[in-house]
Amino acid sequence: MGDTDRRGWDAMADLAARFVAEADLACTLAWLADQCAELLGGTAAGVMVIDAQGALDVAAASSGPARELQELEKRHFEGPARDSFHAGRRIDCPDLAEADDRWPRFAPVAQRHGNAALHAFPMALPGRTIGAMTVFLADPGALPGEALETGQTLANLAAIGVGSYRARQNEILAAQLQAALHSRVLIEQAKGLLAERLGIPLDDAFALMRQHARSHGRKLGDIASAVLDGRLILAGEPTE
Amino acid sequence: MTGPFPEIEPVRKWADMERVRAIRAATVARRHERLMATAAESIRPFHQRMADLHRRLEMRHLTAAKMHDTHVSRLLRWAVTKEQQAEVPPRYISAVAEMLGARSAGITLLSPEQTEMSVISSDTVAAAAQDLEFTLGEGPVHDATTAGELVVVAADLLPHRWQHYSPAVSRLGVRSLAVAPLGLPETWVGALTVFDPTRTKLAGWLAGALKELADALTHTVLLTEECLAALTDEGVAVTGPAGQLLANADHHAVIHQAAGMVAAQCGCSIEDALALVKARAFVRGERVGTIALQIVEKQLRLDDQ
Repeated sequence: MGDTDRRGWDAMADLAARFVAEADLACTLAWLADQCAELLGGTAAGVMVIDAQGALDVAAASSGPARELQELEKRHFEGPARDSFHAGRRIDCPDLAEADDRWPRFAPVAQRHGNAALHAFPMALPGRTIGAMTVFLADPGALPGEALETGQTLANLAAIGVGSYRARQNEILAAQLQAALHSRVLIEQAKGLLAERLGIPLDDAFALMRQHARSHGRKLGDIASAVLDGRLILAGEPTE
Repeated sequence: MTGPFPEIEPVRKWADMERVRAIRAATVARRHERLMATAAESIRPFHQRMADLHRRLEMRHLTAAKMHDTHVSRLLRWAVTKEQQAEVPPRYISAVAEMLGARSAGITLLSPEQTEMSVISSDTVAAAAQDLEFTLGEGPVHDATTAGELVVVAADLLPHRWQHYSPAVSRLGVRSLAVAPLGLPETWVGALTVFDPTRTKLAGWLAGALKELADALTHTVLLTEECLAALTDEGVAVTGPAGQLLANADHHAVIHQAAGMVAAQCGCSIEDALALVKARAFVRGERVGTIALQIVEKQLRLDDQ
């Protein structure tokens, strides 16, 4: 295994591990942009991903200029990431000097930042594309086939990671919703139990639990749960 | 219209926001539909799927916009007639009933163990029907979330569908109903039930419209950070659609307080205590909330019969 192969392999393993560990998505994509620029020998790289309504948005960039270029794509609805996203395939531009017709706003700005060529890799999932990753190059000419394969593989991995992260976010939200409702139920039940046991009004039982939660830095729902299964005995009158 | 009806403005804005989202999704869909005409054979299925996906997103946001619009209309009607009519503005959930041409509508939110935790009802009929399901432990919400699919129970089928729930709900005057699960296939968080949808609409139209509405409610109202905030921090004012919808939620607070008290009185588990309260309501032919209130106000004890 050559040195370039080794680095590509490490990047892929690292990327997969970050997604499996559910690391912060923005951080993971920023790391991906850096890795991509470095591995493919580019000046910079950027990642664009769709938002909840299906519109392409800036997700990460390895440099200020790359971020500016992604923002420009978003604002003016033109550019390589956009084209790659909509076509679902790689977009190659070996010479940005000849791309003025294709991207009248994007190409001049890209060149002004010292770029002469670029590739945009689609981030595809079965049946849909969720974004694109662009790598900017200082010299004109296309990258060799191997480098392109590495770039596409990173984009594919990122697509799977973002897709599963998004799906999981909805799952997490649904579970949090149920947990919030459940916690309310437990609090009411514990109020009733305490009030009856101590012979105090419901409001006082609530104050007692809230006071305990505050002074021990714990959530009210956890205190209620502990009261209900007898792990926590609260007694006496609330002092508030 | 501005000024005289301050409660209407934010709802209008939600509708506009959803329309913008729908347009964005439609723009993406259209591009893929266009590309399909010129694309190579091999890539056409990809464009087809992208177009379908974004048409679905467009529909979701259009449905959400229509839901907000319906609420705006109801608020307007209420505002101009409020002197003769009800003091309180119409509930958000009533807009859902109106969109489906139903007499009443209810949303029930469930725990992972399928226990009802919160109910939102458009009127007393929906509230009473939801209460029956809570007491009896059988009914449309349980079926929809267990099967994970929409259930339409027409008038001729309702009497035979559930052993206890059917006759009880018929006594409320309900003749037919339809229900759709809310949430995700892996995690259903509840169900939307409509009671007495107009007969002519009880066919495919109703199923389609109910499904779209359940999808829009799930993704634009319930599974949102705003909804979570509305349920978590009671002190925080939540001003979006979820806050509006949940403003009328009954979290069964008194019932659970009563269960806690009965558990202490009888030295039994909370589950058994809740079952005792429900059983007493069933035997007396009263609502669980009524029995619970008597327990909480110390007019009734379940340990001294």
